[in-house]
Order: sequence, then C-alpha cells, then structure tokens
Amino acid sequence: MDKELLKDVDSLANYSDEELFLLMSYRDENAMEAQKAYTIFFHRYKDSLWKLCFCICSNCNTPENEELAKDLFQNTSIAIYNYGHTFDPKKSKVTTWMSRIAKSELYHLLSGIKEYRIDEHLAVLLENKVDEKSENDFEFQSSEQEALQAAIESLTEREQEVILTYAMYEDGKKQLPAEMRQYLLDKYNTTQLNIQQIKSRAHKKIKEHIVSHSNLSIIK
Amino acid sequence: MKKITEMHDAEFEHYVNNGLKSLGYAFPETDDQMSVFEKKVGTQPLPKEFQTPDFVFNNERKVRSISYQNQLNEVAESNWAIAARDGKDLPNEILNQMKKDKENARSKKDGAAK
Repeated sequence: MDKELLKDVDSLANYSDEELFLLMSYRDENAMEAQKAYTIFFHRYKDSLWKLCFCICSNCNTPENEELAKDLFQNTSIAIYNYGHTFDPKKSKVTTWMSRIAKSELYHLLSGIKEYRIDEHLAVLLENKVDEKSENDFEFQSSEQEALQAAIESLTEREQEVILTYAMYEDGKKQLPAEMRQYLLDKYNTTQLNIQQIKSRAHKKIKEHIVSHSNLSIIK
Repeated sequence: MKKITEMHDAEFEHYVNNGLKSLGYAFPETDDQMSVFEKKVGTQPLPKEFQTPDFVFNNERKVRSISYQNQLNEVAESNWAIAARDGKDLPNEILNQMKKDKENARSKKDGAAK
C-alpha cells in the first residue's frame, strides 16, 4: 500500500467496526478508502485474532502447529476483508463472528480441499449464524475452568484428539463432517464404534476429574 | 459459602463442549464463550510478517491440501515398519491391517492423481 496515500488512515480511527466494513464493501469502487478502513480494523483486532488462531492450532495434532496458525490467520484476515459486509452486530459481537470465519477457514485448510470453493464458503459467512445462548448453558465457574483444563491435559493424545475434534465440529444438530470422521478412523486404524467408546471414556474421565476438583455436582 | 453447580448427567457433554469453546480448545461460538476466552486466555506475540495487512491486499491465500494425507501415510508407514521389525511369524490381524493400510494408501494416491 502506497505510504503517501496512507497518511490519512488515522482519520478513520474513530469509525465503528460497521462503518469500516461499509467502506471495505466499496473496495471495487474505491480501493484506497477500503484499504485504509481495513488497516484500521486490522490493527484493532490483529492481536485478538492471532491469539485465537494460535490457541486453537496449538491443540491441533499436526506437526507444524505454528505454521498452521499463520496460514489460518492469513486466510481468515483475507476472508474478513472480502466478506466484512456479512457481519451483523445484532447477532454477535465482532470477535465471535471472526471466530466463526476462522473455524470455516481451518476446516478448509485441514480437510484437504484442493480447490477453494468460493460459493460454498460465502454461504457459510452469509449465514452469519452464531449459536444462541442455550437454556442449558451453565455459568462456568473459575474452579471448573481449571478442573476442565487439568482434565483435558490428563487424557491420552488419542482421547484428546477425539474429544476436541468432536467439540470443534459437532454441536447440537451439527454432525462431525464425514472427512473428519474418516480422518480419525484412518489415523487410529479403528472403527466408528471404537471412536465412540474413546469419546465416551474421555467424557467419563473429564467428569470424574471435574466433580472431584470443583463445586460441580452431577445428578443421576 | 461456595456455590455448587448441579446438572443432570445428560447435560454434561453440552457443558464440556461449552467449556472447551470458552477456553480455546475449540472455536468460541457464542458471545459468552468468547468473553470467557478473551478474559482467560493470554496474548501471544504476533509474528513479524503480520505487523501490516499488506498480505491481505495482495490476496495471498494459503492452501494446505496434503497435511492430513501426510499424517495418514506416516501412520501407515509406521505400521509397516513395526511389522518388519517383528520378523516372520506375523499374526493374521497385523497382516490384515497391513493389507488394509496398503490398499488405503493406494486408493488415496490414485484419488489424488485424478
């Protein structure tokens, strides 16, 4: 980006996220203004997005997690620039929306999809559907957070990968994608039934750990 | 006096998933999960190459089409290596697994070539 033309980037510093997204949406008509708007947005959220990418990729069982985090950060940043107009502040805060984009990007990176299917990707973003708070959401107390972290660390590598893969992709009505299910089956040379048993065993271990190390009580 | 949270057994999986998303083991998907994540998880230094957004304007998307495939091949090769070290009298289950690994690797290789 031309430094001369960036001189007045600061003039947009007080713009809201939605105002910046609006300027970005006119990138075909006014590329310079769109780039200035994105520059402000980028500096506002780059640390937050990197923290998310780094943290999630640290838990991915791949040999080069930091490189994966960099790829995820890069692709998510590009998607935000291209699809910022899909953000709806009534549905979620901007960092939650960014997390949803990053999730979609990680799936693309890991699933081995060779071609970037733009229509399919755009559909995910336009859906802009963020999970509503469920009536079943419990207040997550500090002692329980620490107990959950310790419980996850106490699991075997296989149990961790199975439970985190399911947590990443399967929730409520959403099922684990077929590619990810097959990945687990192939990697551990096992059956779907055995994967379910590993998941169930891991949940049992987590439950026992949390109950004995926090104020959580399970009613049978 | 400490507050005791009570829940039914059937709700526990949902509770764990909510916790995993709040602590950054999986992507936060609600504002509440994101708020816990932002508060609880520490920052990481941003790599130097991302100090400016120029890479965005150059539209330099990354593609990583083979990382999982490599991992699967490594697992299959590992099974072969273990079997080779054990020598001649291999149990049927290992022979069957070796055959399955070989077929999987071949079919995926063929699929990738198409």
